Amino acid sequence: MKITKTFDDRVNLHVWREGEEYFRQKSPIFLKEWTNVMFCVIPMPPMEGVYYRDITQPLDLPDETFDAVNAYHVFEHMTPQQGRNFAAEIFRVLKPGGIFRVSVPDLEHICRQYLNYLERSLQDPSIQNIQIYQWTVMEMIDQAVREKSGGLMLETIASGQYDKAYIKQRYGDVFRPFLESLRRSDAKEEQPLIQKNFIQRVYSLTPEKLYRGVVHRAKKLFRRIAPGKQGDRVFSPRETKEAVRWMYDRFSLRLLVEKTGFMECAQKTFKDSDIPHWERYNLDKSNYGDYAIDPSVYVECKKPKVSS
Amino acid sequence: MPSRPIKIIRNPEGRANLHIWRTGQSYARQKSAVYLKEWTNLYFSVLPQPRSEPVYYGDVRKGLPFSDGTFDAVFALHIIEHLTPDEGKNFAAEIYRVLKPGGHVRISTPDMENICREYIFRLETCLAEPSAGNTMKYDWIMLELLDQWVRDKSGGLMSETIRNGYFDYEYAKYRYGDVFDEFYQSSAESPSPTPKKNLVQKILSAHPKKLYRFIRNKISALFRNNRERKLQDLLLDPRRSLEINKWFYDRLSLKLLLEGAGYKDYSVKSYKDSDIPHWERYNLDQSNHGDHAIEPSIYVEARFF
Repeated sequence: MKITKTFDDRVNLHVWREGEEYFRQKSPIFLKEWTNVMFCVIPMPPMEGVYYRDITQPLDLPDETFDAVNAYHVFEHMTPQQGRNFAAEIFRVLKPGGIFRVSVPDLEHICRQYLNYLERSLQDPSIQNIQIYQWTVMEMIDQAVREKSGGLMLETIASGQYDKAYIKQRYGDVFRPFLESLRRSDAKEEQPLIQKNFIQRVYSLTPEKLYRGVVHRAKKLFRRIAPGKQGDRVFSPRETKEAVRWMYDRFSLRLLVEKTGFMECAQKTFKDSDIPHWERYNLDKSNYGDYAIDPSVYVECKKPKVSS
Repeated sequence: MPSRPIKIIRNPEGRANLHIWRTGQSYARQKSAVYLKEWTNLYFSVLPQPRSEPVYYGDVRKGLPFSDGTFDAVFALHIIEHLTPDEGKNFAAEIYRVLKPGGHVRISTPDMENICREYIFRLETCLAEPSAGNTMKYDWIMLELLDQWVRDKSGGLMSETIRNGYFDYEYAKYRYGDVFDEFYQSSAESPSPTPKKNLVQKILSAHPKKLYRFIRNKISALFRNNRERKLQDLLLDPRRSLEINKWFYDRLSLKLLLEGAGYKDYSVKSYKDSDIPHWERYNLDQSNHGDHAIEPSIYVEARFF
C-alpha cells in the first residue's frame, strides 16, 4: 500500500466501509491527505487512492506507521472476536503516542430512544409516535437480521410510513441519497403513461430500441441457461458485511480499546478530536451544517509512548 | 405439512386447545405430561419430521394445517421472535383463522422492553462503578440482547461464554429461569478441544475395538448418501434451523400486531395468569419447581369475536 501524507507531513489511516453520502462529502479531503482502506470482501472496481481490504484479516501495513487512525463505522460489522483482532492490528500500525478514533452507532442512544418512544406511544398512541416507535425498534434489530440489502428500513422509507423530521434529526445526512432517488422515481411515476397495445409498440420502435430489447432478452435467456455467473450473483448482507454483527456503546468501546492496550480513553463529539488539524478534515460533521453526518458514539484513545 | 388431517385432541371439558412451540428440553420435561394429554400439539420445525402422534411437526410459516374455526384457544410459546415481521403478521392471521369465535390466543416471547431496560441499568451501573462483577453482568445482558440475532454457530457466543465460565450464575439464572440450567448443561457438554494427536499417535493409542469401529464407520459413511450430512449442516446453521431470532417484541408491538390482525380484548398477563379456561391446570409458563417463570418472557392474550 502506498502511504499518503497530510499537508503537514503526518501519516493518517482512514478505515471505513460504505456510505454514499459520506463519500460524496468527505472523499475530496480524505483521498488527498489520508491513507484509505475500505472494508470490502466482494470484488469492486478499483478506485484511485483507496485500498479494498478484508480487515478481519491482518493488515498488510508495517508496524508503527501511522500518527492517527480513524475507524468509521466498521466495528459493528465484525464479530466481537474480529473486532478485538482489528483493534490489535490498529495498535500495531500506530506509532507510540498515536491516536485512535473510533465511531460506531450508539447502542445506548438507540436503546434509550426506543424506551422513550415506547413510553410515549403507550401514553399517546398517535400515528406519529407509533411511527417513530416502530422506527426505533427497527433501528435496533433490522441491521442485524436483514436478509436483503437495505432490509426493512429501506422498505419503510419506500412506503413513506416514517416520520421525516425524526429521521433527519436521527440520521443526519445518511438517508439523503435514498430520499433523493425516491423523489426522482416519484417524479417519473407521475408522468402520464400512455398504455400502448402490441402493434402500437412495434410501430413506435426505433432500430436502436429494437436492438437493445433483443440483446436484453437474449442476455436474460442466457442467464437462465447458465446461472451462477459472477455478474448477476446477489450477495447477502452477511456476505457484503452490510449486516451488523455486534453493537457498542461508550462503555464497551472503552473496554475494547483498554483491553487492547490503549490509554487515555475519552468520549468525543462529532466535531472535536485530539487528532491534529481535525478541523481541517472534520470527517464526522456534515458539510451542510453543524450536525453529525451519521450520529454515533465517538471514542478516542492513545497508544502509550513507551510500550512495555 | 402433514397430508392427513391432524387429530384434534379435546380436554375433559370438551374444549380444543392448540399448543405451538419450538424447543426447550426443560420445558418439555416439566410440561409434556399435561400438554400431550389435553392439547393438540404442533412443533415448529423447518425439517420434514416423521409423524409421531401426539406431536405434529410443521413449518408455521406455511400456515397452520387446520380448518377455520377449530380451536377454543391457541398458545404460541416462543415462536414469533423466530419469524420475520411479515411472517409474524401471517402467523397471527393464521391463528385468527383457526380460532372459534370467542377463542383466546396467548403468545409468549422474550420481552424486548425488559431486556433494553436491564441493559441501560447495567450500563449505568458499570459507568458508575466498573468492577469485574458489574462488567460481567453487563457483558451478559449484551449477549442476551444481541447474540441471538447475529450468531453464526448453534449456541453462539452465549454457549462460548458459558463454556469459558465467564458469567454470574445467580444473575444468569435470574434472567433465564429454568431454561438457563438446560442451556448451561448443554454448553458444558459440548465438545471441548481435545489435545491433538498426529496420525501415528492416533493409531498407536487406539484400542483395537475402537480402531475397528472407526474404520467401519468411515466405510459406511462412504456409502451413506449425504442426506444426513446436509441435515447436520442445516441443524448447525442457526439461520437455516431458525434458532436465531429474527425480531423482538414488547407489549406495544404485540398489541399493534394482534389488533392489526383483528383481535379484541388485548391484555398483558403474568406467567401464571390467563383467561384461558382451566389454565391453572396447565400452567405452561410457570416452573414446576417454584413460583417463578420457566423462562421469563412477556405474555399477552387477545380474543377473537
